Amino acid sequence: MALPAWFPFRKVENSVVGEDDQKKLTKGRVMLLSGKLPQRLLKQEVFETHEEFMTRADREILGHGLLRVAAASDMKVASWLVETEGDLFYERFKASLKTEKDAILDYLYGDLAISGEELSRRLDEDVLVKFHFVNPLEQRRRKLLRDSNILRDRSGLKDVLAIRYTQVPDVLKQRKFVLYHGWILGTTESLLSVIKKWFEHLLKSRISEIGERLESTPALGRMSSSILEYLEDEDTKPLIKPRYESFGIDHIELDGSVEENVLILPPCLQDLIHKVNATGYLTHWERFQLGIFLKVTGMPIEEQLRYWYNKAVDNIGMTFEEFSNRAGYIIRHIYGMEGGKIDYTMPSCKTIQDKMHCTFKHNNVETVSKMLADIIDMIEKPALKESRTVIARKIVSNTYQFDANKACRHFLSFITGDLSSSPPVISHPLQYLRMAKEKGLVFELKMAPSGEPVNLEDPPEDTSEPISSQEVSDD
Amino acid sequence: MTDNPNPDDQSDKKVVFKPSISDEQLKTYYSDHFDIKLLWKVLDRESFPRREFGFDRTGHYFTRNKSFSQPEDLKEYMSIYPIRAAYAGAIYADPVRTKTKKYSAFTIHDTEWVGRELIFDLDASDYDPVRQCSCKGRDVCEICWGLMQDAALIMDETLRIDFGFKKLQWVFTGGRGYHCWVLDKETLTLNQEQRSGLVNYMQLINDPGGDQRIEKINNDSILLKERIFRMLTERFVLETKAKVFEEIGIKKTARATMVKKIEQKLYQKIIDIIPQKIPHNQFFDLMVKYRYARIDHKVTIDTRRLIRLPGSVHYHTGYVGQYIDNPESFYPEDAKHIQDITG
Ligand SMILES: [Zn+2]
Repeated sequence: MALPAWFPFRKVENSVVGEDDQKKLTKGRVMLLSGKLPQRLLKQEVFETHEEFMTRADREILGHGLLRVAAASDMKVASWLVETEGDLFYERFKASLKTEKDAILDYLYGDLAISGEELSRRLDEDVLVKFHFVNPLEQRRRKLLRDSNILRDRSGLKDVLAIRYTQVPDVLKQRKFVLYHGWILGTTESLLSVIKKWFEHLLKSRISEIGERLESTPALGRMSSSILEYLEDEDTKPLIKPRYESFGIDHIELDGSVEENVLILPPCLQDLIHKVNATGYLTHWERFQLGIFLKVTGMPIEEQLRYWYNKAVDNIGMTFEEFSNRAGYIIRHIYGMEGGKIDYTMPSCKTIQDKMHCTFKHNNVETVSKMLADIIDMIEKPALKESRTVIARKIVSNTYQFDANKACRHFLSFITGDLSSSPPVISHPLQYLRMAKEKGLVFELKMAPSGEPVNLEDPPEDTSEPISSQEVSDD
Repeated sequence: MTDNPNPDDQSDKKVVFKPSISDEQLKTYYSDHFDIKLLWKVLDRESFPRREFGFDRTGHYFTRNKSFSQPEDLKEYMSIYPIRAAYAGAIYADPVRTKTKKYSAFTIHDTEWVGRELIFDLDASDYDPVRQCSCKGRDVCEICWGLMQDAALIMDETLRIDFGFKKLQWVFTGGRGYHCWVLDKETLTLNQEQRSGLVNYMQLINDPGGDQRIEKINNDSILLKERIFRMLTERFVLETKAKVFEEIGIKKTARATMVKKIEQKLYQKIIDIIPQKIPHNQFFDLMVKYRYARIDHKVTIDTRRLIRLPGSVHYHTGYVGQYIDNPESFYPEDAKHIQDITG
């Protein structure tokens, strides 16, 4: 099974690209992705020779690879790239031959996607007939023909695909497909958007992998910067627009340091600050998230470089100057001093949930419960303790439902006091911060957050249960 | 046990709980009668030392982040302290411990999560808005226990047929419901999103304590739909009060005809039981609301949650949580009771 020439995850033989060519390749891919080229499908027929065709395909893929590198240090480009590559993949996959589709599915899913016929063999039961993908008479006729070697090809037969349930949790929820013995079954046609989503997921993780290597590999960082610069040109700049990104307010000054304000910060940023304090490490996109936040809340670049220098664990033996020159890449980038020279604004909750860190989307429910219990534990007044506990239960319940925006909305009332009967939906961290700053904390704390686990051995006899009904099953 | 308890007759028999249990009885139970080997029915031996346990000790405080290098140590711990409730958590990369005089704490947040069985929780109190008896909260009787039996029956088949799971262990919690442990190896590492997908596939009642909206089931979920009709219809008609059927316009006489059809087996297809002018989907939704499984999704989704340890005593009832093979025919009175064991 061979992957089709256009498949962007395919390995390209000669991948050394000169700097002049980089610009051409990058822009070529941008034009293709933006629908500015007539040939979206890349068909061999339109080329004189196979070689020409392959050269064109290789160049397309190299362009894709370069964009990935650029996307690794710019989440706006990343969002745009994932969306448009997803669309292109969808069109090209749909138009592919059966054998090419099989090769792609094999690449994307391995053993976790098989044909309906293969599933029938494994279960020793004709699932195609059972779930009315073919009628029994037609199936019998085909079997006879195939057995007598008259019918070799499978044209005209509907392609039925089985994907393991673990790969499609959203689809399971909606009960949109037949589920049988742990496989969801549908025609390849009906599963196209499911497959597209998985392709986008894999592309996202590849971009993040490059992101993780950016700082330790200065050459990669330089490459990323120069590609971003090409994208700033007049002909490409207007094309790079993520469909869903929305930028609202762009700047809110904090009164005092981040640490002093930590409880009124959006919970996602509280998490990141705790994490960087505790471990000295954030993932690539998390660093972006916190870095931009520190910038838009008024921290100058020099101070931010120092902030990371003090917190990081991988800078042992490095002077501040060395640190700023080498690892400070992302921070300088955020302030528009590298690459595309874009002055970054804070990403929306949608982008954060998609790529970065959202408290209610990415934390374990138990972690969320514990965080809330820790705060409640430090509240002085019993009445406030009680009312916070009621809201905490709502937050936990929203977290279970994977309804992060609602959970965040309740968290805002948890921190600032009960908002009017219909609090707004939180869709941007700065929207949260503005409201939290206006209202201020509703409670006073007994002591500063210590980060110690609450539930230790042999506590005093009167220790109350830490929202225990949330943690254990009450049966 | 009568076959078809009549829901319109209010003299239902409640399971009688005998709650006054002494600390001594608890200790005796765990030292002399708690069969630790039975735990291998649900817990994996190799990872036992890295399993989190949690306990409600003497009702005063709750402790978790405990692990034991071997099962005998767990048994000993439970024989020394009066344990009002015992729970098993997830498996981690290292053993966990609470703070002692000698050592600092090493909690589940200090180590890596490794795995957790896939568990479903059914609880009679989640049926409060639709129970046909006079039970509320912790009570159960033979009428509402039937709801637990039906839920288990339908979930068991769904897990085996739709998901293809093979190793299911049902457990009576000792209280008012069942746990189902799915022990197929692949389930151990499912993440929260995957578990959420799984439980939501089966969950058909939104907001079970509130407006109880029933989710639409389309023809792609034909197996589930067929199963619900096949497994629930008869008992739904026989064990639901006449006035419930009036919600969709089935009058007393029409309901009596349904009952007669069932009792005298006067139908070929199950669907023939439904009066002709009543749309099937209306009947289906009503049946789902009153009789279909109400799964506590939190227990399934949270991969670090503590779950009642099978074989431990339920302090509020005195019943011993018990491994069962036939949840569809089990009744709480069949379970062992600590008073009978320890005198
Ligand atoms: Zn009852």
